[in-house]
Amino acid sequence: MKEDPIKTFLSSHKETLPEDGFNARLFNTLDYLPQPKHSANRSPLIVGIFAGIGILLFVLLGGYNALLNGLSTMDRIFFDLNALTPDILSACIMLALAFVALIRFAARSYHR
Amino acid sequence: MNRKEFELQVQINQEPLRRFLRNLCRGDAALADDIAQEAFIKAFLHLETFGGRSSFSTWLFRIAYNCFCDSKKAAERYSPLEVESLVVTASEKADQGFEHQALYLALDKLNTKERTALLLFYMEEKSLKEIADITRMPVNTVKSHLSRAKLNMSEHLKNHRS
Repeated sequence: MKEDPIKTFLSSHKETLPEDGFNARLFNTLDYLPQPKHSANRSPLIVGIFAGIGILLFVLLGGYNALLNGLSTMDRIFFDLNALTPDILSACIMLALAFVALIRFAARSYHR
Repeated sequence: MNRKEFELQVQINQEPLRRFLRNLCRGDAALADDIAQEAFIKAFLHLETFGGRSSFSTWLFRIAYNCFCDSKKAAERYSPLEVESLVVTASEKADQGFEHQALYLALDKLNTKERTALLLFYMEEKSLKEIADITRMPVNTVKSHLSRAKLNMSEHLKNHRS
């Protein structure tokens, strides 16, 4: 395999720099600066609160029965598109968005 | 991140960052170390803004690259003569460190964006995505800067050999 001449040239000129007291000078300067504020990651707390509110509303407003009724009438939509009322459509969109948000949150938490 | 963790990151990243800045400044070690110090201090003061979306090293290189661009702009704005003298200084310094003369002369043939892309890709072994994050350019723009830099440097190396 042919070697890249630029890569070879740059690798051969890669310097190893001595520390030369750089860290000590920097740390001395840092002593005179305000110390960093510890910022807590509040996103799990926010997600938890809103999930709790969502579950509470679901229970209090009879969401379980509405869900069962909705599911039992779902098959009608496939046969008759006129049965697709705006509230069903908006519920489907909201559900899809909720799933997207949940997957994104899980993926970000996993990568962190 | 607390002070202790930050100090650990300084120890890990000081050498690659200073080397990158020194090559970007074409061998001006004092200027490069000043910019590196400024970058570390800025990073320390804004530690709470580090969201962990990129690696700490990428975040630090981005701050340092911005500091370098600011310093270059300030030098051009306030004293155009200083920019000219900087080039001369770089060449003189290259003469002193003979082993790096060829590198600084070759880097002199590239503009800042090309030099940045080339140094980060080949010398600091950053990925195209990381270079795009550091320079805040789209990946395709980084690719085109890199290919132009390679072309210009190949020509220079060919002429230098012949």
